[in-house]
Amino acid sequence: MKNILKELPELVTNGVITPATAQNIEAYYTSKKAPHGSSFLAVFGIIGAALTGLGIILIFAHNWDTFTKNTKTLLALLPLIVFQGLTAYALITKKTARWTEPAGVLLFFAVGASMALIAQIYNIPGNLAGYLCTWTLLCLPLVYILRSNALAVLHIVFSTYYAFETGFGSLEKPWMYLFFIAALMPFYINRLRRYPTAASTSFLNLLLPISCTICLGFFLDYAYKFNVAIYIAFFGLLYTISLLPALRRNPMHSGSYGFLSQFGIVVLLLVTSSKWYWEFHADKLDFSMNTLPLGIIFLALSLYLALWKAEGQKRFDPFLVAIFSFPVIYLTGFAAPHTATILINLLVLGLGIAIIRNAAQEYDLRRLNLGLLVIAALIISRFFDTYMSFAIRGLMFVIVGLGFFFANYILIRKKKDHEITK
Amino acid sequence: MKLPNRKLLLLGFALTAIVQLAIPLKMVYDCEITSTEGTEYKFRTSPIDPVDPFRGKYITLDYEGASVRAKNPAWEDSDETYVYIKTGSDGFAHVTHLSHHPLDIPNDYFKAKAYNFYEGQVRIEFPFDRYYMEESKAYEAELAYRDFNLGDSLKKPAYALVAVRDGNAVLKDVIIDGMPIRVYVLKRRENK
Repeated sequence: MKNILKELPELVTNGVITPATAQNIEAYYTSKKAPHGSSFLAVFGIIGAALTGLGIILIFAHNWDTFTKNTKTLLALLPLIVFQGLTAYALITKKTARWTEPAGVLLFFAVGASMALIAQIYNIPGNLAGYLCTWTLLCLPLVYILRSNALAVLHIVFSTYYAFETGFGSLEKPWMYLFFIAALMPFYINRLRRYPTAASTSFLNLLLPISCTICLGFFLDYAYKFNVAIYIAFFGLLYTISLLPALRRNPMHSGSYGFLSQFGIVVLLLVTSSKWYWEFHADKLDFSMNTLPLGIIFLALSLYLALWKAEGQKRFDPFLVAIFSFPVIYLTGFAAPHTATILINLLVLGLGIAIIRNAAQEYDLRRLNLGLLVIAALIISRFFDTYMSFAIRGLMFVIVGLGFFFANYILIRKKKDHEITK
Repeated sequence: MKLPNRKLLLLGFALTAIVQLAIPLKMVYDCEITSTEGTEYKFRTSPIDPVDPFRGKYITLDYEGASVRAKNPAWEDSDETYVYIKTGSDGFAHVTHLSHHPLDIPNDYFKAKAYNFYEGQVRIEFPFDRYYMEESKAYEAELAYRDFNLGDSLKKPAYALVAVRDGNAVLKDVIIDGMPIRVYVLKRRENK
């Protein structure tokens, strides 16, 4: 759009369009750019409601010991009843999202506040995880009843918080997290289908894979090497999800799944490309029978999506090669750690080169630099654990540095030629 | 997804609202009935001060009687342990029996979590180890207790006043030097 507006004076000077047409075009795009008032109001309403709700909780948390027990109990239930009333009013009078979203958010925090204050009045112990779990569960139906995005976001955030409280640094598994995420799926899929272009849907698309990435860790056992393999399989699943036509149609959607998974895969492959990863506990099987099925499910689902559901793969996809060859290299690593190290290094190098090659064919500068970054990161990682002489290491850095300049230069020129011939 | 029927939606909301109200009300009811009709026990304790992001500041109570002699390690990580208590000749509550099932004895009991069996002793997590306090007083309470506990062994021991009824236990107050900890902290402020 910006480009069109920039071109306007030139088009007018050369007599391609009349000044009046130029003005019309400008007016059209300016009006299109203007923010949609009601959605902005809704967003501010939600932020206001969330801050008010949190404020009420904090005011309660002060613990006003000058109040009697009865006053405190009444105070605990008051916001709950008031905001339930407000939400019921919004529902009965068929108010728009501008009303229902903030009302739902206020009710969400009122539920938490009332339980917190009563626990405080009667010194009910119970850990934070249990409290968060009950709170999230009590507000789950509201997501569907109010069809509220803000509540779906709060649901994901609080489910993640619960999982963190339960699983972080503990052997306990946050099982309820699985239920919370599964319970949100019908809502999420419905949003994807009905409102694929809405900003709120994009936000859910970003939040959901991040939450799952964080919480997967709480379900794993203490098997460091094996967990890295599980995570690569998990990112493989996220990557194949990003290839689904439903997400592909909107780059903003597949972007969050795609970016997170590609970033995760590259980082973890770099971790496994070092010698110490394979030599750590090399004498024993770093393995967990409990989480093995998880890895297999991730890989099987990725394979299913890649083969039958993903948008017609026109070209060779280096990430898919990395995802499915990793388990084989991982198993090789138990018998021959040295071979596995070399194979992973070749895999990362190949991944980088393939990304550059694909980028060059599509004249995509962003991906070209991503490919170069992968190779640069691989070389920087090797800088730390090889005994190459400084001269050779220096030379390699210079070559990669120059590679950045030349590759970008060549691609920009090719792109220009391509555009001219078009 | 088809839009649900409006009446169904309102019914769903009404049910959700009722459950949202019922949970805190049930909490109030359970605690109130135990508090008013339960038998009061004194548990010797010492407090420290942590914080909960939603429920505010509290003092954690470390109970002297929370380690109980047991013959076998079957108690380890047992979520539902029935802890039977009785007031001893010293005026404080003592654990008399531990059981995985309710026992047919007249003693009061509460349900607790048993963990960590070590050298013939099993540790029990008493379900009344948090005492919520006004935020400025929680840390002062810990300091007050520390000062109080120093030196003079003839002082009255600090204890928690707990009402017990039908397996439920409610912590009513924490007593230092014969007065509620809140009053003790205020008195200490005046003396400074």
